[in-house]
Amino acid sequence: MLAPQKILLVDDNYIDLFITRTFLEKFVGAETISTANSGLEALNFIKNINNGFPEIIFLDIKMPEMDGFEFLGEFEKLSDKRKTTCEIYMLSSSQDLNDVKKSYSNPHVKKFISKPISQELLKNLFS
Amino acid sequence: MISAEKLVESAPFGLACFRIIRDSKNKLKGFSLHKMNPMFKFLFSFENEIIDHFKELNLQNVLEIFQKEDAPANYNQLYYSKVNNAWYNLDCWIADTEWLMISVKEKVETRISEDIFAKLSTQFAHLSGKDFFEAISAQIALILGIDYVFVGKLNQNTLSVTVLGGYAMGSQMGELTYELDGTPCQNVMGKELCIYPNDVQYLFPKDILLQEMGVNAYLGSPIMSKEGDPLGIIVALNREPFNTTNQIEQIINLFIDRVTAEMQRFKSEQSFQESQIRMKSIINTMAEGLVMHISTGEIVFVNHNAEKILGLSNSQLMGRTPIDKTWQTIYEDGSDFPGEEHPAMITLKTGIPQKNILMGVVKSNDQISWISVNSQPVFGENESVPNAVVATFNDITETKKITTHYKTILQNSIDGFWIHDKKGKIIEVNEAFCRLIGYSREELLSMSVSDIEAKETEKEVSEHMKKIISSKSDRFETQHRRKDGKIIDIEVSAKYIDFGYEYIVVFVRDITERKQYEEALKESEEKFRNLFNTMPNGYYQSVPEGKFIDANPAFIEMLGYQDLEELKQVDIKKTLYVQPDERDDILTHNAEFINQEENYRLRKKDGTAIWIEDNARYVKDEEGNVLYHEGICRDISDRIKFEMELRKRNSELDRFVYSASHDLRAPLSSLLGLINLAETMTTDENSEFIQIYNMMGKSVKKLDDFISEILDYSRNHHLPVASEEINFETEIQYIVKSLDYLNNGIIWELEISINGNNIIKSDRKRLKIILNNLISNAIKYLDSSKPESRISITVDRKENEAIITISDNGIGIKPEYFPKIFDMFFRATEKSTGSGLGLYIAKETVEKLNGTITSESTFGEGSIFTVRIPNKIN
Repeated sequence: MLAPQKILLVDDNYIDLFITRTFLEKFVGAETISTANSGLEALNFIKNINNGFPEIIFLDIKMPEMDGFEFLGEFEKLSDKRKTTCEIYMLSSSQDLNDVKKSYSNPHVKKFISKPISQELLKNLFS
Repeated sequence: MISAEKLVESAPFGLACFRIIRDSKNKLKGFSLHKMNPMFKFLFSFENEIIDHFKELNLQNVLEIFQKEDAPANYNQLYYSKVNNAWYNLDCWIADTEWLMISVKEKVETRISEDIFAKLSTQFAHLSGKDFFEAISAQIALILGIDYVFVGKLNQNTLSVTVLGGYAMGSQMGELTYELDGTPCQNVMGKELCIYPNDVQYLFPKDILLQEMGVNAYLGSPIMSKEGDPLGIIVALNREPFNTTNQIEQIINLFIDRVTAEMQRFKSEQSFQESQIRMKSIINTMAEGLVMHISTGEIVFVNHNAEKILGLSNSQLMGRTPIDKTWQTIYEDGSDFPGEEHPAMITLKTGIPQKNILMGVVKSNDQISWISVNSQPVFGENESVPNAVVATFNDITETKKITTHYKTILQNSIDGFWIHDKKGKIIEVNEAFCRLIGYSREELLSMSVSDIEAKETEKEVSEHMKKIISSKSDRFETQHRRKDGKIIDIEVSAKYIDFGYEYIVVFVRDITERKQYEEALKESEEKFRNLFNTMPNGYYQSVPEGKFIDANPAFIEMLGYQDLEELKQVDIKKTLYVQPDERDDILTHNAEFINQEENYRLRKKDGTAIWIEDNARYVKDEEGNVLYHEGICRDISDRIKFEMELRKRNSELDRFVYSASHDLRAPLSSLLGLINLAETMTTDENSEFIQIYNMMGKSVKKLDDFISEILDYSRNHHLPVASEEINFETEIQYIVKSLDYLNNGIIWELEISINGNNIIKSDRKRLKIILNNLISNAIKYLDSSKPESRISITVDRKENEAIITISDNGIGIKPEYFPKIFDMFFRATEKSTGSGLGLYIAKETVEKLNGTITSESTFGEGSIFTVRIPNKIN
């Protein structure tokens, strides 16, 4: 796919947010990178956005308030039609197969990526 | 008196005069000779002994006659004088009440010789019946010189007379029967002697016989029985008138007693013969065979059935004795039945009747007739030794066939059995009994009951048998002595059977073992009771209605009750179960399953709940009806508590593992991300930073792998084994790709070959753990000194299993390390960067899948790991 311009990063770990943001800025050249520290924050962000509905969401699983799967559930419930063009990439340190399976069972999840992210991986995703 | 004396002197015949002596009552008392003439004296010729002689003359008779009140005026008596061997007439009369006058006149014309008496005692003695009557008639006729004399018997209808024997004009009289009506004989039958000295034909004009015979004179004397009934008649007839009736009358009287005796004998002989004929016809028509033996044993009579049963004719049998060698008789066991033991012979010898003796008679056609013989002695009057014996017998061959059949069945009987006769002699015995008692059949057949009886004395045995015979059967326990001397306990069931011959059938069961069992049972019951009372587990019996019927102390204590009585009061349905519904479930289960183990909670007496593990079942009767419910149970409250605790811990551990996997990995992956990022920020590829970042990355990766392994291990233990179709190609490719970073810069080739078309089903996650470990080892230990490195993976998909072989030409394993490679935390090489968990986890996981893992390795050349995983497709 072409390099996405509007990206939402959802992670409670600021280091991981920093890493992902830096990789994306440096190698993908995304126009807008928004961040959220939990699923709930991400949901509120999406609900209140006017222009620039994210094309891609990088979603961590384990987060306080609302974890990744809970967010997926809420996201499913949204009536916003813009979500159909939104791709979700799970980005987690989990290697648990149950987590992988659960992720792929959601139609909006494009890929399950096991942390850490790397230059190579981004190249494969967006080239 | 002068006249009487003068008469004696002047008489031309012998005459004597006796003075009558009277007693005080003027009764005649005796006579004394007063005077006799020479003629009288001559005829009696005993001058001095005349009185004595008169005594011989039976003067007493004369006295008696004249003593009677109705004494006749005179009395005639025939007198035989031995002086001149002649018969004289003695006439006696009383004269002037004072004198007895006796005249002797030689008036008998036909002299009766002495040999009449001789004939009576000798010639006639051996005669009987017709011969006798003829002979005596002839004799009388000759003595008296008359034409006809006969003896006739009065027939039963008393209307006619049949001549039994007679003399007619010098020859024997033919057979003749005549009606009495209108004959002089009719008068005789009125019990009187009748004499018609002349013209009898005129007196009895109806009597044609008299006319035919030209009879003029008639004398008939009745023959009377002792009881005074007329039996017959003796008649003397003459064509000329009788000269003297006296003489004839006296002669007839002389013979009449003898004739009467013969007549009586004749009559009883006749009725005897008649009854004999009747008897014979009865005997011949009777179903039994009958044979009469006389004292010598000779057969003198046989009936038809005897001929039939014995297969011999009357003439063959007559005169034969039981000892005769032509008989072939056998006992039931086939042994010879000696003639001396024939019941008839025994009875003859002992006088004791024999009953139901079984005897086999071998007939000429070799067929055997089995007969049951009874013998009855025949005694003569006042004799103690039998003079004959009557043997009767039945043909019981058919019955015996049935009995034999019966015996055959019994022979095959598992129980011991024997038959003995009334004396206790064993006559049949089956195999089972021989085995039981240790004697052979042949030995037993020569033995008696008392020979093997060990409890009762011979006398008691005999008494016992009598009891069995009278009561027909008995059942009792006793002891027998085996041939080897061992005493065995037995149960006896004896039956008295009469199949035409009598015997006692005895069934015997060895109860030694049973007795031992009973002992053992008692012991074992005691043991059980002990166990029951002391065992730590609870035991109970309850009925479906919801009451306990028995329980051991442990169970009572378990539920906190005082004693069994108190426990019995418990309403199982309502109060015992913490959840009363459970009881119904359990009962339903146990109706279907035997020994179903159930865990449930019961309430103790004090209300506290305990967990019970109950191993229970229904005890049913033969029809399948539930008798009671029994169970052995344990108080597992502690165990349940522990298990619940364990389950909690396990789930905590699972949660820990999960969060650990995340929480441990999260900072590691952040660190790796940062390293990745830092590397991108360095432009100089040879910079030392790059090398440092690289090393940092590898260290973190190693730590990450270790965590992954621990998680695998944990998962292997906790997750249930799944079954899904395995795509080996995809799985292997994926693993190889994800592990390539381990290669240490060595370039290597991969060969994958998947063989066989069978679909393999297994636990994919576990299979991945196994493959991951083996493949990562293969990559890690590739040999950099070798020009070409390769790893080949083959999978053989068989019907029942998958065989996975991973071989490499890596560094190999040193032989001394080889036995330990599957151990936990073992590292085979210094070069190893592994955790020492890899192969251990692989092995554990293979075993979880019920598979096997083997390896071979040559140090310096490479290793081969072979994994066999069962196919769970079925």
